[in-house]
Amino acid sequence: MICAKEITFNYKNKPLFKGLNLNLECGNIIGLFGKNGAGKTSLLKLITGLLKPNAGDFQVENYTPFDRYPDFLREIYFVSEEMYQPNLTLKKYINLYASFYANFDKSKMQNILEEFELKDSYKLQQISFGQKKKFMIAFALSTNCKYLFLDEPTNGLDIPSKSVFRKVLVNSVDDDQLVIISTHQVKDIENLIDDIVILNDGKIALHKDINSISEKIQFKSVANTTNFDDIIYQEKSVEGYKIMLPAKNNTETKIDLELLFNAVVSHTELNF
Amino acid sequence: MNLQQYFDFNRFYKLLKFDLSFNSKKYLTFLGVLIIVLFILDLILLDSTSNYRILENNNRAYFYRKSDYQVSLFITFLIALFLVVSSSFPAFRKKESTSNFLLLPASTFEKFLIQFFIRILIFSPLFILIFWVDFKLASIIYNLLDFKKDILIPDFTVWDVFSYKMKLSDKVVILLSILSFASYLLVNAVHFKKNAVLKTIVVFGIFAFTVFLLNVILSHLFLPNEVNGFDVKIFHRYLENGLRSDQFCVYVIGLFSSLFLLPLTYFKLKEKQV
Repeated sequence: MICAKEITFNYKNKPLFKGLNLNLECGNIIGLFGKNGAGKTSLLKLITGLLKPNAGDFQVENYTPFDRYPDFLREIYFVSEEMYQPNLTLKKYINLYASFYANFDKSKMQNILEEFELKDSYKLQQISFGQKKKFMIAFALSTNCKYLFLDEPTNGLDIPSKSVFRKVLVNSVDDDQLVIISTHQVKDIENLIDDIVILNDGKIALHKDINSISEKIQFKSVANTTNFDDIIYQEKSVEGYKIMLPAKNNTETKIDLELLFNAVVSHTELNF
Repeated sequence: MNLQQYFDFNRFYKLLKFDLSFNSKKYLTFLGVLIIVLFILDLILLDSTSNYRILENNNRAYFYRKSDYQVSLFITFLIALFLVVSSSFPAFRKKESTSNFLLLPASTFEKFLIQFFIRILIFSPLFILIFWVDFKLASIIYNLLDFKKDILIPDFTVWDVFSYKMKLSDKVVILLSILSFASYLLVNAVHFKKNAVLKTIVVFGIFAFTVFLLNVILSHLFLPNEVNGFDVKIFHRYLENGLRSDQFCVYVIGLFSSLFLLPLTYFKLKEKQV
């Protein structure tokens, strides 16, 4: 479990989080969204212990992340956007790093590499950005760490690789794991996530599970809005309008993450 | 307190294996270059001693002095130690590798100890051994080439570096001062992100100049009649064992700086953020 209480964090003297609270339970894949500079990567760095909060209390499984105790580090894996690329073959990288993770599954690694069409004889410095990303995702999933943090995992991935990513993620993650995916590409992960966390103005503007959102809100595309008097939020689109309405008669619709995100960051009142 | 969170032998061994394997090419290249450079340097040193030139004119045999060997070893060791230790924590030169290093499942103490172990404890005797082997090789080659007939090179052992005529207490002071010097380099290697080696020199230069300037100011304040311009005059007294007070002060700094600098390195590493 991840628990953040009243976190204050300044980045280069600029206030980023003030009184941020967050509770995340294991067994979920969480989508972390926010505008550019909202602090998604910083939040992931705070959770993994790469950054130290100025005030407040962070706990990950009874560990304070910034202590960076080995038992804590063994349970987390962070795929950063700025990927490290030593001059090694994939095979050597796996052999070197896997020994630090007690639950590392080499056969799983091989399977995911095959899914991503990567050969372990490739050199990290000689493959494309997308291939590097796929390798790091494969490695992260194979560590079987309890907490996985993926920062913009689909950036640089081609279209087939994005669907392979979704497939391997769903097949790899167990019920006792927690995966946080920070991304702008909401479409890439909309069918994967259980919870949504939206960062805005230095706070958690929304933290809800997908089910409770779809129970309470309907998402529709309509030609015009004249027939609707209870619209929560609306946006012009090619077909006319995209609208958010209070759910009626237990009718659930597919969540439009982009619309929901825009509603939250524009401070629309959502009564959950 | 769970000490396993700070040090575990198996984890340390794993980290050591990782570091040696990860940096094997880099380490071997450096050692290769070091062997070649020291060999060439030894040849030059054997050939260029000024005493030899004088004796050569007199057509008498010249004994390459053990002290020449010891001094040249000491100077080259300090230069090599500077290069090796100030380039410690190579992961910190790039943001991506910094994250990777900090998140590696080992304790901060183990990560600190690995650098201390490899770059100071292992490197120092290794350097002495390499220097000795190189010197042996250089002297064999030198005599084989026979271009300076009259030189007599004594049969040094690898331990001869420690047999320099000096009081034991002075040797301890030198040894611990080297440790303090290495600790200073280690702090800088953790602190600086880019151009750590260059910045270490600059910081040392600024520090040395500040100390000098402070001494100039103090000399002018307390002994205005005895100093001119940038002169420095330091009062000293003789202590009971014949040691001078100013010498004692330098000894204390040399001896005990590492006690401050090594924990500072650990603290800087522990507080490192990306």
